[in-house]
Amino acid sequence: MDILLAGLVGGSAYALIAVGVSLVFGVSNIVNFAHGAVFAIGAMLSWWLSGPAGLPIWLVAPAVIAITGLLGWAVYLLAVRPLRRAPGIAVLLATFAVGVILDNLSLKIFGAQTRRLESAFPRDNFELFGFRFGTLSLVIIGVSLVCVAALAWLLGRTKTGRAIRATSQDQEAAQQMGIPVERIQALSFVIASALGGIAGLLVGMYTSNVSPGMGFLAGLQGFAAATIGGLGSIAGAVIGGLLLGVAEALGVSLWGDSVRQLITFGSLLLVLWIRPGGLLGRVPSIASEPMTGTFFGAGKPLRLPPWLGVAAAAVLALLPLIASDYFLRAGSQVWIYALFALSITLAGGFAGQIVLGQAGALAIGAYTSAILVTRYDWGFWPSFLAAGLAAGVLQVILTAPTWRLRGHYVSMATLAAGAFVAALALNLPELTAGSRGISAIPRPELFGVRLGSADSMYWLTLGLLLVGVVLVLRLGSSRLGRVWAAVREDEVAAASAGLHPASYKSLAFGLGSVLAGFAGALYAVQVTFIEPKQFDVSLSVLAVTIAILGGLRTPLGAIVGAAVLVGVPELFRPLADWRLLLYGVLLLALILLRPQGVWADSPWLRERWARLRGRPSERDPVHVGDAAAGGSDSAVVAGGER
Amino acid sequence: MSSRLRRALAAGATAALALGLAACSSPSSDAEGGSDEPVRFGVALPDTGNSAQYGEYFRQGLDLAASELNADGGIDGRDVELVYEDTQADPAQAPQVAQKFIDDASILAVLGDFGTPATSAASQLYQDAGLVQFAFSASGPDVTDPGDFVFATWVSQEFEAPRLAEFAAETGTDAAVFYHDTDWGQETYGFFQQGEQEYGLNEVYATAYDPESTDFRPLLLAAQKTDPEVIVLISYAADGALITSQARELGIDTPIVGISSIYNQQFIELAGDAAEGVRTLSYFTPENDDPAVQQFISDFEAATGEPTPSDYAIRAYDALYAVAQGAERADELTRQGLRDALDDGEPFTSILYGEYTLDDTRRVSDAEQFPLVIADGAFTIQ
Repeated sequence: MDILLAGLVGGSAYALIAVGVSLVFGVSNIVNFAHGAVFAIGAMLSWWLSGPAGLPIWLVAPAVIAITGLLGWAVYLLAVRPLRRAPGIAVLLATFAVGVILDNLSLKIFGAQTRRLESAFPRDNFELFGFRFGTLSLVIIGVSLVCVAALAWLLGRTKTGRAIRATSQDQEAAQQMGIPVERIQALSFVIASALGGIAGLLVGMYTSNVSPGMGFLAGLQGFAAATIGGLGSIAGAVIGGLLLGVAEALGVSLWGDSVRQLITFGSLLLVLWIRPGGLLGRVPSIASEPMTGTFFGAGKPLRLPPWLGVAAAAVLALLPLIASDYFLRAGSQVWIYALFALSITLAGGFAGQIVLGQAGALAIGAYTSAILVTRYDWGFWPSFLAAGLAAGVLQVILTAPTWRLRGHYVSMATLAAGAFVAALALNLPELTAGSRGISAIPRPELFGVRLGSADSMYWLTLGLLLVGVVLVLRLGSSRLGRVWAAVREDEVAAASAGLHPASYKSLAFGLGSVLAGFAGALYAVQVTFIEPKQFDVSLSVLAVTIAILGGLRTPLGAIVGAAVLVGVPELFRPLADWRLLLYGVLLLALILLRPQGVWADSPWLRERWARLRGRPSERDPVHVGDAAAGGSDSAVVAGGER
Repeated sequence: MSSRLRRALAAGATAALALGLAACSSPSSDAEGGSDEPVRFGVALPDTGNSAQYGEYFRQGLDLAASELNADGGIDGRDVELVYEDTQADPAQAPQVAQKFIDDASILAVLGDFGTPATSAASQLYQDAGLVQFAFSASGPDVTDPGDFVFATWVSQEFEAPRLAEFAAETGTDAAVFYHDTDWGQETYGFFQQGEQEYGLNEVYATAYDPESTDFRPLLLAAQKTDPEVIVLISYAADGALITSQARELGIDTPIVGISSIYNQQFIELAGDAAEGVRTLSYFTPENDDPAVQQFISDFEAATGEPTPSDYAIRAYDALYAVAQGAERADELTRQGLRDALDDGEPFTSILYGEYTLDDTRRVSDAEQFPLVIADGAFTIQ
C-alpha cells in the first residue's frame, strides 16, 4: 500500500511532464523532443532564482512560467514554424536539435553540478498507511488536475479552445475557416512549455536534486506516459503518468531499480501493440499523415559524373598512406555509422517508414558478436554474420504488430522497441554482463592477420560499407525496391493492387536491421567495450538524422550524413565544452536549410549556379515534390533575410 | 563498373573531403620538445554530458597544480601545459581522444579519465603506442592490467570495500546495501560482500540502482521492511545525498554509512539536514594538521573560491604533481623516459595519501583512511 502511494506521488511527476507533451501533439501533431530540456531548464531556473538570486518563492514561480513560456515560443519560432511545410520527421529532428542546444546552454549557464532545490512546501508532514508524504505531493497532483480542468474548460468553452480543437482536427480546413493556425500552434507551445517549467519547479522540489542533464530521460518518460494515456488527450496524460508511476514503483520495489526503463518502454511497446491510440486517445485513423510524405520526392539524389566516382574510390582507399592514425580511427567511426544509417535508408527512404529505434538493432548486433567471440571462442566473421541475423530476426519480432500503423506511431513503436532492447541488455546480466558491460573485445582477424591498427580497421570498415552500399543500391532498383516505392508513395493504392503493405514494410525494416546488426559487430570491435548505456535513444535519433540529412533516398546520403554528423563533432574537439552546443546548432541549421538532405537536388542552388554561369536554368520536368521543396526552401531563405 | 557503384564511390569522396577538413583543422604540433618548449600533458575528462561536474573538479585541481608548478619554475625550467580533451567519460569516445593524444608527439603523458569504463576503453591504445596513461579516478581492480604504461592512484576496491564493511559493522549487524548499477558499483559490491563475511555483517537487503534515478522511495520502502540496523551507500555524492534525504523524509532513521566517494561538500549541500550523522571513510580531511594539507586548502580556496576541495579535485592535483615528480626524475624527458621514472619505485608526495609509492602493478596498494561523521554541516573526525 505504501509503495502504491509512492508510485502515485512519483507518477504525478510524470503526469505533469506528459501533459505538455500531449498538448503539443494534440494541437500540432508534433512529438516535441525539446520538452524534456525545457523541463530541466525550469528546474535549474527555479534553483538559480530561489538560491543565488534570492527571490522569494511567490516570485520564482511566475518568473519560471514566464521564462519557460517564452522559451516555448522560441522553440516554436526556431524549430517548428520554418518547417511547417516540411514532413513531420524534419520537425521532430528539429525539436531534438533544439533540445541538445538547450541542454548544453543550461550546462554553460548554470554549471554542471547537481544542485539542491529547497522545497517551498513540506515534504513529509502527512502519513497514510505508513507512507510519509508532504503538502508538496498534494500540490503536484493538484496542479496536474487543475491543468486538466483548465485545459478542458479552455478547449470546451472558449473561442480559442474551439480554434485549437479545429486546428488539431484538420489544419488546412481550420486555416481556410480563418483560424490563425500558426498563432494557435505557437500558443500551444507556450502553454506546454510553461507547464514544463512548472513541472521542473515542482518535480525538482519533490526529488530535491536538480541538474542540467536531468531533462532527456524525464522527457522520454513523460512521452511514454502521454502515449500510454493517449497522445493528444490531457486527461489521458495524467492517467498515463499515474499508471506508469505505480507500475514502476511496484516493479522497482520488487526487482530493483534496473527494471525501471524496462517497465517504461515495455509498457509503451505493449500499449502501441494492443491499443495504439492509448487508453483515452482515439485509435489513429489509417489516413493519418505519413511522416515522410511525398515531400521526399524532393530529396531526389544528386548524380555525379562517373570519372569522379572512380577518383573518389581511389582517394578513399589510399588515404591511410598519408593520413594520421587519429584521422583514420575517426574515419572508421564514420564508416560504421554510415553502415548503421544505411538501415534507415532501407526502411525510411525505400519503404517510407521512419524508424527511431535502430540503436536496438545496433545493440543486438554488438552484443551477439561480442558474446560469441569472447565467451564461445567464435571467430569474428561467423559472429559478424550471426550479429546481422540476430538483429534482423529479433527486431522484426519485436515490431511485428507495428506495421499496420502509420506515421508517428511507427516511429514511436520502433523507438520503444529500441529502448526496450537496451533495457533488456541491462536486465539480463547472465547473458550480457548487465551494467558491467563486455570489455576487451578482440579485434577481428582476416586471413590470420589481426586488424587492430588504425589503417586496417579503416580499410575493413570502408570495404564492408562499400559492399553494403552496393547491395542497397541494387535492392533499390530491383522489383522489390519498386514495390517498396509503391507502398511508400500510396499505401492504400498499393494494398488495392494486391500488395500486403505491412509485410513489405516489415521486410524493409528487417533487412535494414540486418545492416544495423553488421554495423553493431563492427562497433563492438572498434570500441572494444560495450555496455547498455551506449545504445540509448539519442543513438537511434543520430542514425535517423544521418540518413535524413544526408539524403534519405540514396545510400550515398548515409555516407555524406555520417561524415557531417560523426566527422564534424571530431572537428569541433578543440572547442572543448562548447562542442555539443555547436553540434546542436549545426544540426538545427542543416534541418532548417536542407530538410530534404545534403545529398539531394536543390532547385534553388541549381538555379543560382546556372545564373552564375550565365545560362538560363535547365530544369527537369517539374515534379510535384520539386515544387514543394522549392516552396519550403525559399520560405526559409526569406525567413533568414528578414 | 556499374554507374551505381561509381556514384557510391563518388559520394565516398565527398565524405573523405569532409574528413580531410576535419583532420587539417585539428591543431597538432609535431615538434620534439626543445629546451624552452613547454612540457605538455594530455587530460581526458568529461567536460559535457552527465559526468561533467567531475570534469569541473578535475580542472580545479589540475589548473591549480599547473599554475603552482609554473610559478616554481616548471619542469627543468620548462613550463607545464595541459591539453584538455572532452570524452564525456564515454567509453565510445575515449579511444578517439586517446588516438589524438598518441598522434601528437608533444604530449608526454595523459591524465584521466573519469571512471573505470572510459579509462579502460583507452588503455590498450596507450599501451600499444607507448604513452603513459595516468589514471587517477578509476578504482577497478584490473585497471592497470593492459600493461606497464598504465598507472592508477585510486586504491583498488579490493582493499577499500572490505574496510567499508568492517566500518559499517561497527554501527549495526543487519545491513541494507545500495550500490551503483555500474561497472564500478558491481565491482565494489563484490568486494564488499567478501568483507561482509569477514567482519560478520549480515546483509538483509541489497539493491543496485541507476545513479541517474531521482525517486528512490520504492527501494527505500522495500529496504525498510527488512528492518536494517545500518544502511550502506556504495554511491557518489549526488545520488548518495538523494537516497539519504529521501530516507529521512520517509521517516527512516536508520544510521547511514557511505563509501569514500561520498566525501564531498556537495553531499552535505544536497542532503541538507538529512546529512547529519552520516558516516564515511575518507583519505582526506581538512582537519589533517599536516602543514602541506593546510597550505593546499588555503591555496585552493584562493584559486577557486571554494573552502572545501572535493576528493576529485585533490586526486587530480596530486596526479599532476606525481607526473611532474616523475618528469623531474626522468633521465631524458621522453614518453619512455617518463614511464621508467614513474615506475622506479621511488616515493611520491601528495595531499591525499601523504608520501606514497606505487607497487609492482603500478598502483597505490593501500592507504590510511579517516573515519568521518557529518556534524553541523561539516565532515569531522569522529
